[in-house]
Amino acid sequence: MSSTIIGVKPGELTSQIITLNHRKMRVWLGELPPLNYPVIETVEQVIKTRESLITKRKYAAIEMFEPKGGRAIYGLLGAEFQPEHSPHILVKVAVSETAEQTIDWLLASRVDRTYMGLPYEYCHSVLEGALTAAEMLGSGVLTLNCAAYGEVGSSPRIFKQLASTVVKLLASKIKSVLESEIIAIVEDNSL
Amino acid sequence: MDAEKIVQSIAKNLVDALLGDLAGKEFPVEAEKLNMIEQHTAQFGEWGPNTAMLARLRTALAEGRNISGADASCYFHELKEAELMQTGFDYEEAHVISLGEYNVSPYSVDRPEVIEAFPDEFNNNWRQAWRINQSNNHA
Repeated sequence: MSSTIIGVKPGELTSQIITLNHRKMRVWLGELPPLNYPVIETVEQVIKTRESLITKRKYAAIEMFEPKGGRAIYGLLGAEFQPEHSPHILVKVAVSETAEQTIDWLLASRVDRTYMGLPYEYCHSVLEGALTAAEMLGSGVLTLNCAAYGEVGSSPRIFKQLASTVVKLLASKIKSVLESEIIAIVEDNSL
Repeated sequence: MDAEKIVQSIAKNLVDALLGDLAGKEFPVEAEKLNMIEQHTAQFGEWGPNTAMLARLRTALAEGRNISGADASCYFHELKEAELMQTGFDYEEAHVISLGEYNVSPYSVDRPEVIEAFPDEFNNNWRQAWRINQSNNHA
């Protein structure tokens, strides 16, 4: 059964910026932000898992901007999950080429040079973070191929955290970014 | 000049470039200003690299030692950022203005020892800026 929330603007149900003190987060559900870039390599791993209870392809992304004073931690990561009848889940992480053109609409763009893509130095952190939560999805293919990073503010830790968070968002039954459960998932996943 | 001295000279120039107007200078740590910095960074929550840098400043104050390099960059950056945010600037504005105040690089606010102590909190650009061996990273 689908539900309708009255009084929201177009797009509000799929993308929303959440501010917690000085931290900012943006979550996409049912779609991915417009970040398309050439993939030069895919890092992947298969693990055994139960049959997925998810019946159709799902999309989710999360962007986090965490000021710490001397610098602000930043990253964006999106993923799609395609459930399949199988005894395992395949996790795929797309690695991008070195970006040259900055993107100016990201949460960190006012303080950092921000680019679309996922440099190789973060791909194992993404894989590790996704694998910590992948069993929540069950069997299928999880593809993490939507990312953005900051030249100064990104780190392996933030991408590991983003990966486990985005998997939990995909595994949740949340249908709207206006639901308070999103904050609970993100806060619960803070390292 | 032999090769080793040339390499050391180049390395010093690269570090000086990170430190802008603070390069080659020493400064005393003032208790009142350090308290202000600690209150400022506390609003962002506990974070290992900040804790380590502030501990260095607290130790310098206790021992009556002057600070220089990344310690000075951290000290003056946080102080300026705190002052600006207290007058109504948001974090983003205050952060950028504070870096420009002393013409320092954004990579200048943490010491190499702190970067090495928290490898998952820093990317390879930080290690490259400080000429730190990148072998402890995934890349």
